[in-house]
Amino acid sequence: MSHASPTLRFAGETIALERGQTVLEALEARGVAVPSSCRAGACQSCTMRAVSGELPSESQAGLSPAKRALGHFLACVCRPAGDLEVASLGDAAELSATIVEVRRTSGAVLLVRLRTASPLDYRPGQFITLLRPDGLARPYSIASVPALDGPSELHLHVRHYPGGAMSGWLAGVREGVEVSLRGPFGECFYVAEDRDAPLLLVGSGTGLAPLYGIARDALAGGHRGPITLLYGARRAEDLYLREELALLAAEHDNLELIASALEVGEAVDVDGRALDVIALERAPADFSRGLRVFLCGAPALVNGLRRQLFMAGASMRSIFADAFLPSAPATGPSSV
Amino acid sequence: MSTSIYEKIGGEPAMAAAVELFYRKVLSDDRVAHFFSDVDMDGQMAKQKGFLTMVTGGPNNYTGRNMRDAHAKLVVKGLDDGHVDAIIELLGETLKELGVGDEEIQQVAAIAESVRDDVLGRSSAS
Repeated sequence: MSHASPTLRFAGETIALERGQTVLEALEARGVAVPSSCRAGACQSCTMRAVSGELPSESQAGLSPAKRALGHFLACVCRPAGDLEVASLGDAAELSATIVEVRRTSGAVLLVRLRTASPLDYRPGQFITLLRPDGLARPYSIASVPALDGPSELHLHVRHYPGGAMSGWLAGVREGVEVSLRGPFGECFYVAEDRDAPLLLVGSGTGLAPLYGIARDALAGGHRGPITLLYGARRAEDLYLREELALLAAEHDNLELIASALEVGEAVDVDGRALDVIALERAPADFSRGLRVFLCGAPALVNGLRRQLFMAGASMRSIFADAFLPSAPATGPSSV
Repeated sequence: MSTSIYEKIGGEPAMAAAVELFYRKVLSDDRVAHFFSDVDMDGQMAKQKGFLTMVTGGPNNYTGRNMRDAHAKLVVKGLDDGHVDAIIELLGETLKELGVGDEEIQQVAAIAESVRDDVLGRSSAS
């Protein structure tokens, strides 16, 4: 083995690291502007992402398990022992994909299957931005699991709004049409840290998409702790994916399903209380057992429940949340 | 220089728990909770971590300038000495629960006290 100093790769350049030099110092010496503040591993201003190579553990101290799993690290305290390739956060390339199937289901939800031109490195529960050929863009969470569905297969749940720019188009689109995507983004996903911890998944509407991905991902990864999937719609007849969920629960003893609707109607096995009421009744008993909570869907539910669970004693680090913000009114492809 | 209180209570890893304790107290206190009603809880916790790190003597780049800028909007909304007193009190309760001694809590309060004028947008020498 030679004792050559490790190299740092960034934006196509290779930099020889001096002994004891941090990634931040090496990049700055090259004239690369990296945001930084405390330079002591505390403020996280200088967070970057490792593309390949091994990170010293102290460079990830204080980061959430999700950020660690994504290879995020603090450049100011990162002194690599071996070769390392790094990138700034937010550099996302576009990828082309083909629409394989659009299936209508209950609750005006479209189950969209895409095949990407090359495998996409994602975690179930993250989201992508879907771009129509004319450039119209909308974010959707990923319900598929690479290990179960294949690395180039993406499943999205799209609520079909009457007059919706993207959802209206998807409802009538032919199979084989090409689209593009950006991503994946987001930190709301399962990390196999404590396989015996209870998991509570709470979502409204198509918030079920990321939760379905997270639940299947956890189960496929051998999660042993109890998993409670609490999902809801305004009306019981708008609940979707119920057969698939029932099959999944039949296969896994540690998965419990609770469906909620404010208008229960004739439905059986549907709880008529609001999701946050049910969640707050169940969650606190599991705080001391390392409960992890995943919240997805309407911002009022997600942000409200996040605060209520925190005030009830849950650590913010144990709550993974993805609030679905409504799109700005569509004024054409150039709308943001 | 003696070890900072920041290091004594466990440095960066201990800050996460300290910030949660402090933030729960702040959100439960009617005197100051309304200044923290923003839904961006991550952003608020990051700021409070910066504050706790600073007052316990940890690595930070706090300056009078950025303390002023950060609180200018709140001063317009009525931020005053009573609110600063409440925050220093909640800070003391938090540190006490973390096992920090009274004498050290006084030191921390003194550091927090030193930025009072900047936080409230007053000229300090007057």
